[in-house]
Amino acid sequence: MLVAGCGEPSVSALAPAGEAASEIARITWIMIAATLLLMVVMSALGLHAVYRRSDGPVGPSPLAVILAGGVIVPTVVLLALLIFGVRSGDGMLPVGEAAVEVRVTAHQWWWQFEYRDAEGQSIFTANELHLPVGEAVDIVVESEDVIHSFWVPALGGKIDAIPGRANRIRLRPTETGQFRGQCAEFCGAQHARMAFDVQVHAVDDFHDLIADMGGLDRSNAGPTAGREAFEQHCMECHSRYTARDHEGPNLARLPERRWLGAGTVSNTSGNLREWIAGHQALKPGNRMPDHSALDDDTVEALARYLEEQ
Amino acid sequence: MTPPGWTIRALLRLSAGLIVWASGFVFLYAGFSLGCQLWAPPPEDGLSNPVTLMLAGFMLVHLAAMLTLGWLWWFRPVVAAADESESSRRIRHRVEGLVLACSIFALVWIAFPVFMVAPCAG
Amino acid sequence: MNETAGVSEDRRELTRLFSTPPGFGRLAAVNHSVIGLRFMLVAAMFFILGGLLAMLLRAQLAIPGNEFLDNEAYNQIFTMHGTVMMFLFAIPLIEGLALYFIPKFLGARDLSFPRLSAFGFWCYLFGGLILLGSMFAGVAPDSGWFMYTPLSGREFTPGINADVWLIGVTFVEVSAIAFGIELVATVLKVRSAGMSLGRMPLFGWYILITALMMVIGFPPLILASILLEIERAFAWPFFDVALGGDPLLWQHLFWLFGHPEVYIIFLPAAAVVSMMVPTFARRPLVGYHWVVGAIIATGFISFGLWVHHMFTVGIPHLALVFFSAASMFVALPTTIQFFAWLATLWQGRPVRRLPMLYLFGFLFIFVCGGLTGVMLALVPFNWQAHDTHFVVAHLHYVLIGGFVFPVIAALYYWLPLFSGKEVSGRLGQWAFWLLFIGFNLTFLHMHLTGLVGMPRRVYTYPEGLGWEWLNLVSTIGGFIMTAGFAALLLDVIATVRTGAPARRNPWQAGTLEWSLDHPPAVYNFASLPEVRDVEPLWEQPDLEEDVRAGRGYLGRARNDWQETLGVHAISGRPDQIILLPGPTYMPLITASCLLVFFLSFLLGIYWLSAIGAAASLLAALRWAWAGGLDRDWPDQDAGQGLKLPLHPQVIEAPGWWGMLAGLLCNGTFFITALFGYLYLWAVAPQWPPESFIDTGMLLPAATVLAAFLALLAFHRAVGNNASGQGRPVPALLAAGLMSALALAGCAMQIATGLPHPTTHAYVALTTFLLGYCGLHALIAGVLGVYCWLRLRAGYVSARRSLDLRLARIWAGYTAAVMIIVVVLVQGMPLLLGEAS
Repeated sequence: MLVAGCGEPSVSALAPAGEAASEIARITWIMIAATLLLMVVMSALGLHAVYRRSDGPVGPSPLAVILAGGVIVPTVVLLALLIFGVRSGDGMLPVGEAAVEVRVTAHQWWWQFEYRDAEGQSIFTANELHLPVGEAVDIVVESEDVIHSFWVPALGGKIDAIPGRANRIRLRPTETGQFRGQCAEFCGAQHARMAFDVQVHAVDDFHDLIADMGGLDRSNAGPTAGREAFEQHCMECHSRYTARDHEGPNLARLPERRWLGAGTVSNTSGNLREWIAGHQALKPGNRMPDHSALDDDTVEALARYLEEQ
Repeated sequence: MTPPGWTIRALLRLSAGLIVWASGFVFLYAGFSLGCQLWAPPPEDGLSNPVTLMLAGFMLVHLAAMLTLGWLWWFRPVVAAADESESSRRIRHRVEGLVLACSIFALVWIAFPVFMVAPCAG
Repeated sequence: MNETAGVSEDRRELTRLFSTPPGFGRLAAVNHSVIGLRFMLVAAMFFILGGLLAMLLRAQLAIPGNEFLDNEAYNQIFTMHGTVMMFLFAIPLIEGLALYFIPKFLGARDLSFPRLSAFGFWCYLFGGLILLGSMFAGVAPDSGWFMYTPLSGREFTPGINADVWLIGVTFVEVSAIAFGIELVATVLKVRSAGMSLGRMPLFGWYILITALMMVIGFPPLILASILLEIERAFAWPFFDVALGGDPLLWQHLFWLFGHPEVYIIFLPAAAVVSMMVPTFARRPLVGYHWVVGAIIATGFISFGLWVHHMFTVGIPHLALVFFSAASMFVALPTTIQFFAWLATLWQGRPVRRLPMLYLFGFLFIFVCGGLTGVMLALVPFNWQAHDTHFVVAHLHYVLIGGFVFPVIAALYYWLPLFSGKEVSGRLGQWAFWLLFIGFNLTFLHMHLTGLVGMPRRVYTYPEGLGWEWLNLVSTIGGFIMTAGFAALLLDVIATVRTGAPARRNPWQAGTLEWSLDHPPAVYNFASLPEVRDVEPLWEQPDLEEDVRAGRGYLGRARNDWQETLGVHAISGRPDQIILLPGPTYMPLITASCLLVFFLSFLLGIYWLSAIGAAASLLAALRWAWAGGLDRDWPDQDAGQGLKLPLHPQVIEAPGWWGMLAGLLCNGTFFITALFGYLYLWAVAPQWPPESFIDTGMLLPAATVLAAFLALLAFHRAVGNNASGQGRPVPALLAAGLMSALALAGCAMQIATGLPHPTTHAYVALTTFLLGYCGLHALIAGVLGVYCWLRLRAGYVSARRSLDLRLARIWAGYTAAVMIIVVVLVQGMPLLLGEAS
């Protein structure tokens, strides 16, 4: 229930596909049930106190009411909850070795993900996070500018990206599939459009994918006109080589992405062309300089170049 | 004519337990933060580490202070101010006792997780 | 017959004395009823504004991909919605409520410092207008009401928007501090005869603790705002991580204020509930001391919760657990209050009236908000729910359920008293159901909106994530709620304008305010009652008639004095006659000088800002000058055969308590600044700095010595004045001189021992702390001169020593902070110093 229909990636904390998220979803349902029960009881007590039949004093002695309702019952309930919460939270901490470590750098308003290949070489992608199912993954979160927060509701809790710090959160996906992650801390003009695509693969597929991504260089792919336009207009901030850490999102894997502009629009050929020249209209205030002056031919050339695999 | 200091002492006494609690809270949180910076015991050590030991010490010291206040409350109850009615004095005495009970409860409540988890993990 | 004529003569005279002049004279008003109503009216205006802003937000979120508002407008509007509701509606409404009612509940004619509350009103109005004006100029704050750095810093918010927030809100906070000081002194000193602490209506306890919480809770925010404004204006890096600052310091300071703030808002709401429940249950509240204990416990424990707003910032788990545990524990005092109310209703014979309906709304909605609050206190759940719409739903359940509903109940409950009109009830019931249904339709399922993944503060969201109908229903519910507020407004206006005259004490309540005229006379009580119970009207049937007939205390008007009783703080025994000030423009003038200071700082005209600051200090001194007596008076007849001294001739005068409350506030500010210094030293990444303070030991030692000599000199002056042996004048001049030397010592340590503050957070904070000490030495010096002038003008004598004693307290505080700061800033580098 309450999960988005087919085709759309899951965004719900109540449709968990990770170990921490499952644990939290379970306690959420228990707490919701308890909350509803207590609300019914409290409302009933309140209504009874005023709309009772007898006119004179009723009920147990005031001291008993205050002690039982105000002290004993809440103490028992809260203490149980607290002990449970401490144990449960402790179990989610990133203690011990993780199988995979992904470094995440949050930017206004997009995400950079950095993996290591077998030789320890860095691989950079943007706005797409790939994870192996069933393995412990540590996400190490940093920020390039303001405070952001890394959050994939279906997999687990969130952790803030804070300038000057490297925070760590442990995820362990339990199902393969596609999920949506997003920034949860207000980070300025386009906080709303700072999502990323999460894909959980079978372990072997994941390692194959990392191997494919490593050293992927599409700088020289495609027709010359597009390449030249890219060098002229885009290369200061973007790269089509996964080993390169640039100011803007790495575009080597753009053809494989599901979205453009960190979840702003889906990655269709029409949207790509609209985005190149009109990204400031689609995502006002984003940090990419305005390109609305580009002529149609240049846009077309750039789009073809970027689509080239 | 009671001197002004008497009034202030009476007001402080009313909330003495929670003042000790506040001190305990500061010691626990600050001690924990500095302890983890200073010693950084690895989570594998579990509860046998200097930070947990120190926090336990802070808790016991504050608990002892609260129990002393409890002794005072029992054997040296507040006295009435000049012209103060007995009912008013009794209310102050009761509030003082409730506040003290609350503070002991609250101290144990926030401190017992110290003995549940390794301190500096996460 | 003759007696009646005398009574009406006295009442005419009291009316003349306590009235606010007409026309422009209204600007000089200081009467607590006038100021309290103004606070509440302006707060209501801001509530309407904040509500309209919320409607714009809900309209934008009604459908996915909506283009009704763009991101800039949305971010300004959600920031302003939060800011307006928290700072310009909730807190000022509480202030207005307490300013208006406290003297009426406690049996007094006015507050302890009526001019201070007038000053607070002008600060609130001016600060609010700055924020309001920015919205019309299109430069409203847009970094969220929490203003997290570095987003709110110069680099990421280059415009004036963030400065508007910092300066506007700080200006408004001045009024909160003024209120806190005023109410601490009032509740402790300005009550009716016989009202011991244990017989005070619970409202008094609630407001005493709330006022203390404001005095302690607001300084962290004021400090944080000052630091951030200095960082933005002059590039001193307090929060800039690259230069030794830490953005988390902002969060700690902000939430150190921000969480107590929630209880500052809730406690007064619980206070009005505790006043209404006994009335409608027809019996005194059961468990009075339980409730008092619960209020005190809430006051303390609410300061141990702030990190639960920061569970996701990467603090070690055990630290989160401390705050998680405290957050759950704080539910206990609240449940105790709930069950005390319930037990009262069970023990009594409840009557069902319109305010009770709203109290049900309160019960239902606030309990739900409290329970979701417990959920959020659970660390793992918080990791999921934090910064989602779940929290939006939770906080509205707490604030609307725990504040707005009780306040509406209170509005209907006291409407007959302050408007003199009967409440009819029909439209009020309609309003209730619209509000109740609209509220739940907006927020109940919004918990779910958050859990299915929708974060807060997004101006738009894509289709297909399952958020569409959840948001649409919330928007519809929001508009229904708006209709409810409109109905409420109509009903109140109709009642006030065309309602039937109210019967006296229509709910048959037992507290003192219902013995007043409906609406109350400007002087409240024709003579001041002697009370023997929490609900005196129930236990002392003759009280009302005696008070009216002038058979209480201070029933006669004399010497053009506005008098009220001061009592011993604990026992309620009368110990002085407080002379209240009449209408004066000084609060407005002082607030206007502050306006010059703040506004020119906002616009970057720093020289004018400096003039504004100096003018404010002078205006404050001129204002202080107007108080006091220029000759010794014998004890005066207070009625009932009692002779009492006038307040300037008493050791424990209200001003003495006000000074203590003020220093408590100042001390919290200071300790928070020390916390910032130690916090950055321990936690911030770019430490240690390149070099430490380097002044040698002589200069700091001399600075501390000068501060202590100044204290000694003030002490000497007080002693000479009291004993009459030796003249206080030379001692005062020595005190002024020594303070000037201490000031110079601070300035020289900054000038010779430190690099420029823009180089590192260490330098910036050290400079700030030394500057703080220097400012205090400066004020101590000014006070020395002031006391000398007062002495010369004849305002000080052996019996009238308050000016001197207050100056001595200030000098003592100055010496204390001086030695702490000097030992800290000189000692820490010696102890831990290893410059990078």
